[in-house]
Amino acid sequence: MRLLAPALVLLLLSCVSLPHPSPADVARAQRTWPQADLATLEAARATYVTRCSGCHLLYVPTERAPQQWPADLLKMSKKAKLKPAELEQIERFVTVMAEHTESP
Amino acid sequence: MQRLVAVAAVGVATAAAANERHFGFTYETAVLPPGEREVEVWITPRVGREEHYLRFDNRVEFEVGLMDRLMTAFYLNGNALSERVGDGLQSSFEFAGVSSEWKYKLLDPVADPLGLSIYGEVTWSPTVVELEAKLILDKRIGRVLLAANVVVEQELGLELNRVAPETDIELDLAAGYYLTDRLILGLELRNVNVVVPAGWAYSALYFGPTLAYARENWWVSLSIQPQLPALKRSAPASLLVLDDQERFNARLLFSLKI
Repeated sequence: MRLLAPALVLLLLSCVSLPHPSPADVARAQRTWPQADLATLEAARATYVTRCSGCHLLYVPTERAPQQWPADLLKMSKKAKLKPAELEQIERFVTVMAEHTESP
Repeated sequence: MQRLVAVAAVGVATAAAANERHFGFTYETAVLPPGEREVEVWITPRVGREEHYLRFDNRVEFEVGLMDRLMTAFYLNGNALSERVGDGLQSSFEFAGVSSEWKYKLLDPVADPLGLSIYGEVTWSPTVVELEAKLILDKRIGRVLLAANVVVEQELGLELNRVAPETDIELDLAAGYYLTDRLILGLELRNVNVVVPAGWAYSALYFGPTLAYARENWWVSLSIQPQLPALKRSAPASLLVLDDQERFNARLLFSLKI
């Protein structure tokens, strides 16, 4: 019983965190990048967290339309000195996750 | 819930560098990115003890990001003091040594359920070495920012290698609300405890407002902290702890990216 309250708090907090990719996100990603899978999207999420959280509070991808992300990322990538491969990974993650919906 | 997730970072993400502090006394988990540098100036007035007491603790800090999750900082410390001694006032200014800070971020306040960093600081002055460890937690939910610190500080006297039998334990809680993308208004509660071999010497409380403003290349933060009635008094005659703490603390922080 004593552990219940902290567990519930952690559960609630995890619900307001950056989402992890779901199978539905993978299916959507594969329309543009056929080789995408859960592992590559998770790796892209890790790159996004590592390389972007140093400069600003992380954006939740759904707050922008998918087509808005590439131009915004390009601007920020110069300041963050992202390598082309990192930029590509991050762009895939945020554009795919911009249409993410929580599983019912 | 989806809507709550969507607004989790709206607006606040456009604020300046990630390492700005929004509370004067309570730390957040953010670290500088690798290669980024900042200079911070600290001014901490401590006002009023049992008699006249006015002290300014001043620090100049040079911060640098070393790795994605690791940063370090170097400080120059000094203080100016005016206090009643006998029938008169005595003023002094002293160099209070140098400090080295190391901070490592384990969890991110947006990507993970809870932000978590560990922090260590060593201060070396001519007469004392201070070791300080902090556990830092924070979380951002929408326009609300929450932070908590557990701080343990041990002083080691250099004279005769004597270990001072006193440990400071501080618990800090802070909550802020982003009024605009750059301006945050908050409240901060500090519980300052001193433990001696005979037991808990006192447990003082401070509570007050904090205001912070950030631009892309600089930020500023101001906290004002009146002392509240103590959880454990150091003297029965006073509700406040005034032999070792002050009636008011405040802190002004100003940082510039270099």
